[in-house]
Amino acid sequence: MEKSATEDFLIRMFREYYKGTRLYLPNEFTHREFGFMFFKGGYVQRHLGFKTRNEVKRFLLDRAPSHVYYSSAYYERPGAGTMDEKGWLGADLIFDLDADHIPRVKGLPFERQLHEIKLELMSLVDDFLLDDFGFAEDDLLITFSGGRGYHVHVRSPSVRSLTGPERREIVDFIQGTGLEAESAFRKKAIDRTHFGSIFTLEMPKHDDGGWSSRVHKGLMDFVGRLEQMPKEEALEKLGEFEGIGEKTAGEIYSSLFEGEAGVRGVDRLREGRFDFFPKDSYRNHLVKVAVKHTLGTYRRQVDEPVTADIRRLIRLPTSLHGKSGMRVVILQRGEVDDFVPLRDAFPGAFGSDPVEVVLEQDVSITLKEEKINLHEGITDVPEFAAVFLMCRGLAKLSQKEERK
Amino acid sequence: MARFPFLEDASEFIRGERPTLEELLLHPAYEEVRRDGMSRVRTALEEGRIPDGETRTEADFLRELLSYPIARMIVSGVGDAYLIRRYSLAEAEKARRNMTSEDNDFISHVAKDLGMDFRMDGLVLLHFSDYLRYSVQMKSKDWKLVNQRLADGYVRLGRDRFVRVLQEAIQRRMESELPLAVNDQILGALEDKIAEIDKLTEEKKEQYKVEDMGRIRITRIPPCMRDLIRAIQLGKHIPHTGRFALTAFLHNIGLSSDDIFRLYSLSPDFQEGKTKYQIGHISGEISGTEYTPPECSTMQSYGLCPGPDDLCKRIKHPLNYYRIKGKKRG
Repeated sequence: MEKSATEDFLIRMFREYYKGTRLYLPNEFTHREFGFMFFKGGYVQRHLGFKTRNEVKRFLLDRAPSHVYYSSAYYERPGAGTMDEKGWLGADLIFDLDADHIPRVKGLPFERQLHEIKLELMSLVDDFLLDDFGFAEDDLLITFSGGRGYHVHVRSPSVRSLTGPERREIVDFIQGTGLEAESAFRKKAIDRTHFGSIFTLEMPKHDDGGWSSRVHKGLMDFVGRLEQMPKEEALEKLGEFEGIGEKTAGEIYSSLFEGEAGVRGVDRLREGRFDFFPKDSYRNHLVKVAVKHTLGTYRRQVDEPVTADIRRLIRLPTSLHGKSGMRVVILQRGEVDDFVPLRDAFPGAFGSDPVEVVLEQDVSITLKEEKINLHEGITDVPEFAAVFLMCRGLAKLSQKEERK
Repeated sequence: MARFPFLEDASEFIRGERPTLEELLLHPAYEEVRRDGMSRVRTALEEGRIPDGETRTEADFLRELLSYPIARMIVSGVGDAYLIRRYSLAEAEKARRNMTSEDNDFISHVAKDLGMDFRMDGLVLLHFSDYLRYSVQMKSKDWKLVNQRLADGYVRLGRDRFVRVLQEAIQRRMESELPLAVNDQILGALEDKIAEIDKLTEEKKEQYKVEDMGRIRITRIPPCMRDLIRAIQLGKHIPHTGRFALTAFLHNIGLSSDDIFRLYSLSPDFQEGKTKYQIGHISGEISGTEYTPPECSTMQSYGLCPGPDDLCKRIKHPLNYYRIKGKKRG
């Protein structure tokens, strides 16, 4: 049960895959840097440039790498050894959604994590990239990463030359970082006196765009939920927010919901009015609550360093992920909803013939819609599952297979 | 047009109608133009502004317009990065002031010349990529993209803000165009003027004290970093450890790589490529890792701590100094 025998098996399987696959190559691939990792030897080999599709193919067949990356950047000389010599020409805008960066999925089972991240992806694409940023669907290349997440490559010419700090602003936008209540609730002078102007706050409108629209939705949603709750529960809910004590919670509640139906605070709020609070401080508390609730509901989390880095290497679509044996799958937006990685991302090259493996521990997982319950020790599994378990470090090739 | 000499149609006008380079440089009829060009540069350097020339008569108009290429030739003859920056800033600031009194059609015209992707009717819709390009260095929170009304790729802006964005774009265009290639004929004809501005630039850089750092509050910077900045501005050599600490510090308090680069450009042993690389490395743009400056104890062991002030005694890290000072002042 030599470790190297397992690696040799994986190398053979990966080579088999690359032999029969028409590999995806990014636009202007001759201007991209390529990088690889291998089953044997832990270093990234990078600073490689290729002139033809054939060169790439030959490299993959020769070396059968465990991981294949290309640069989001375009370079004059992608093969040059230092960044200075490469001559940066621009870069795609990349988003990486990964289980590691989305706190709410931590600790969930693998299948569940993948599902939750898919929901994040759909919201990132639909609400932010297509709606707010106005990209066309054709500008986006969506992929399943082969591991625990998804990537979005944006190739609109308008983003190519953006610098790191500019890209970080885009991340901040998506994550709602630095969102100020005043940007959604604008101050409006209602009266000017000798001492200066008296201001009121304007309600954000649903069609304001960007976070203003979201804050509008968030406020309405929050207040709507309060309205549905028994008073006690609503007061408790309000009290959960920082700075709101029992008294303030009560005042906010009665400003919103007491009085005759049709002319209560909440009714005026729905008309876009915001001037029914007996005290500005109650209003200001509700503003803060609305912003907080909005952020909690609508912010999306992406891996900031990946997006901000204008020289990043990113997994090549249609290559194999060396820690899962799954493909980096290209997805149209319409295909995302029904995509299930553990069902759909195994390459056809890995068949179902039994392979004898040695498991280090009990394993229970659903692959290709088949529930697999395996015990520690020697056991037969279908080829694709063998690759998966070996890549993840859960299994080794048995001695019997080695002798084959 | 004379008030916006950087526009494409202004240079076309000059190319099409008017004097040859030789006439402009040497003919007595253009003596006043040359003097005006000189005063453009001098006031930019000394006062950070460009004088408002007369544009009432056609002669005034022409003089004002032609003084611009002269000014650029002088700046290029000196070829100093600090001068180029200061001059471009002043020209852009002047353009902004002038734009505020122009109508929307004209502002549209300027924005088109600058290659902006925008739509304008009352409010302005500016593509977010252009918005980011020219606003990212503005540190105030209400410029952050997250606080803009962004829909369908376009940021909704008031006219004043749009003009402010244009100012930034104008400044960048000017900085990127300078220095122009100046031949011997130009250098010869403007010799005295170039020499005078050269001398003035050097004096100005001498005086260019720590207080001039613009976007960041100098009073919030701890003594160690203040000393390092002063050393660079006075053209003193600082050790590698000092450069690393200062660059990481400035990056962490939000200075852009460009601004940090500008600061180092005052340094006597300034090397453009190397400096850019180092800043890029420390800020994470190249390395992918953003560095933070060393903590106080390390600064002390590097010999970079000039001795603590009262606040220093309560903290262990230079960045905390900046944060605490910021909170106090709000």
